[in-house]
Amino acid sequence: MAKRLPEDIETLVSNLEDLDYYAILQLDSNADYIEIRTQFHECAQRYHPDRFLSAAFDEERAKIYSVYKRMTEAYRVLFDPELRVAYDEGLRGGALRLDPDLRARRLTGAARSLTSPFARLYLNAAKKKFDAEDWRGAAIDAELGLSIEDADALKDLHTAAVRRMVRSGESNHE
Amino acid sequence: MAQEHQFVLGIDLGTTNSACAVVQAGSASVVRRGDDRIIPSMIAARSDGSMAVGLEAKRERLLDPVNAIYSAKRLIGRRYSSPEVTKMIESVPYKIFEGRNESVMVGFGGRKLSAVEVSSYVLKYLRQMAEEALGQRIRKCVISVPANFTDSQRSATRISARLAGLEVIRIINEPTAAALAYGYIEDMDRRIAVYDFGGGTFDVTILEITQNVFEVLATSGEMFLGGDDLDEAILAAMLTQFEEEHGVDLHKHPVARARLRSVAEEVKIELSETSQVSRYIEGVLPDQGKNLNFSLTETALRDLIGPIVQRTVGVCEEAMKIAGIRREQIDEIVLVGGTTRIPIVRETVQAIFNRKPQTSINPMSVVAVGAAIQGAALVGLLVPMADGGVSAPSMNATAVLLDVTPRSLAVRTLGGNVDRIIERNSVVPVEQTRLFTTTVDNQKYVRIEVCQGESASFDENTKLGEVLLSGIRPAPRGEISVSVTFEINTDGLLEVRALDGQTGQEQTATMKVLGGMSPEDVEAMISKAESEGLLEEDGHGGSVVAR
Ligand SMILES: Nc1ncnc2c1ncn2[C@@H]1O[C@H](COP(=O)(O)OP(=O)(O)OP(=O)(O)O)[C@@H](O)[C@H]1O
Ligand SMILES: [Mg+2]
Repeated sequence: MAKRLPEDIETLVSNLEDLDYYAILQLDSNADYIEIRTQFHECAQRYHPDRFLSAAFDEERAKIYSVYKRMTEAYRVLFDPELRVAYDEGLRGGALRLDPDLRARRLTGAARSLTSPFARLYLNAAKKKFDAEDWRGAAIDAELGLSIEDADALKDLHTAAVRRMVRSGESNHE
Repeated sequence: MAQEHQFVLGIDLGTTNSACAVVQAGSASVVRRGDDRIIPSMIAARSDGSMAVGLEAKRERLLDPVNAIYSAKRLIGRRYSSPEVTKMIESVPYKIFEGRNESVMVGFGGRKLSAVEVSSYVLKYLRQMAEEALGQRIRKCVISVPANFTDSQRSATRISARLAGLEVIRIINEPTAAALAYGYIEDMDRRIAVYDFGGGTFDVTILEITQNVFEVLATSGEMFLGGDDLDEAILAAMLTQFEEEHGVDLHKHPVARARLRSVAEEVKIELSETSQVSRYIEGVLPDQGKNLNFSLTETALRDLIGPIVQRTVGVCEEAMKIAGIRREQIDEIVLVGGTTRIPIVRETVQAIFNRKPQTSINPMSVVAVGAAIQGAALVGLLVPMADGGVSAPSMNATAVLLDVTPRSLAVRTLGGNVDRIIERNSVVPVEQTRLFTTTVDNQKYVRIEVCQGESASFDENTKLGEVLLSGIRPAPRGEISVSVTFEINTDGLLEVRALDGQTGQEQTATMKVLGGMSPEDVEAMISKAESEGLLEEDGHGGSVVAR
């Protein structure tokens, strides 16, 4: 006799390749980050493979694992602002999953030292503004980043931007 | 099929000591044999050739230090040539040498064992202890490992358990287990710092719990910082006093020193409860009958060990930094490890986090208790249904452990640097795919070296092993690309798959885990253990265990 998992899981398994990241996490496409996180945690409660450890059938376990793995993939992408932008763009063109190359994006230098993807976003924004000599903008972004994560890279950038701001302020007062 | 209750053993396999616990009638208790709950993670060869495990092995070590193996956890799943193993070779009296596949072997009493086997003796001892206490065969366990254990260390630990006749249903991080033991799962969301100061290592981990989901935010530690260092500091004071009184330098007397070191440990432990301890040690040098009358006050102990304890401060600060949080954002401090019993250690913790730590559960068994709780939760979740299916898991307040990869996974580039494939702190399971291209004409195979760690230079990380892609179609260089998928599963174990980038054909990819064992070796070892009855036999009083 066929062994069966709960209905909702069977449905997820058979539709796995037709679901986009929002659908697999049962999210609205304009969900904010707190909602994404909360919803992922809800999904983890329900679908984490540990919940099915005593399902002693390899086939069922493999199914659950594949569903949950897709959920972690969706979460990783949607929770990262940079990846989410790339994903949303692809999704408009019909790509249900983010391209593996983009998914495996390499972080470099200072960005790696930050844990929070949001702090990273502010760091990148601050850097861009800094390079464009928008000292004030850079300082504000770095400060916003610092409100999320107490990271050296952000502190350094903030200090540098403030210093330039003060200096350029002086030279403006001729 | 007769259904007896399925106990899941929660195991804390420590560097210095091990313990196990089970959940019975809804509450967790530490397994004991007589008064012993904490078992030294040690095995030794007696002069008659038999093997001693645990406390007996610790006693043997005093008589014959060369033939007692301790701290096997520092060796397990590591490559022989790794810096940690090199350091061990310099600092332990027993023999360490290289086995197959760059694995680590130890030699004692005319035997040769892999580090995996050494641990399996300790695990088997724990299993039998629990079987005696519960009166039934135990098959399943949840085993804890440090949060920063690599893939190869985790899989080696799992193999150890299999060799000991135990199926590992889940590997759990030690700090997570400690937090589970405190039952934080049941109430609100919070951040917890777990300060684990044991016999040989120090670790601090910052966890976040939201909606019953556990996440490791950061973990830092020092591989060689623990109660042993405190014993050494006290021993040094003893040696100085002895030299002043008798004019004899004991550095050349290993047996006398070993004896004094164990007295030093006793003194240290007593000073956690009292303000002064005195010991009279007769015949320090047996043939010369020289005695030592040693006393130490708690205040003097503070001066001796203060600088060592102080080293934990920076590690805690680093962990908070990696987690990106300030100490005010931490809600609870959990103490783990025997060394946290010392008043000055508790005071230091309180100063670091500006908060009183939790102390209601014995810090030496809190990890085993947490592992047992998780074990019971995991098997208690599903009720098999009559039609052979399973009912939906109940959504009661049991923890889901959302583990993240403790370190980044990377491959070696041509220049000796790393190309990171999976970033640290990714929620598992996680898979990432990379394309690898041939660099010479008609290349037959591609070798990819894999490591874990955060350094930009490959060699400064922990090398895990190599992936070999073979059976590649003959073609001019650069024309063939192989897409390799690296996956870390929910147990933190690495799997590698490969596809031919052009044809989509599956490609053979074999992952050779260095310092580990090949699947064939493992199977051979297990069947050997089975045929010798090693998995079932009871070495302690011959109580019969039903299969
Ligand atoms: N009451 C006590 N006071 C002070 N130190 C103690 C006390 N009880 C045990 N210890 C010390 O705790 C250490 C062992 O701790 P524990 O069993 O937690 O280590 P472990 O987990 O095996 O080691 P590790 O953390 O290195 O893996 C020993 O150094 C021992 O001397
Ligand atoms: Mg420990």
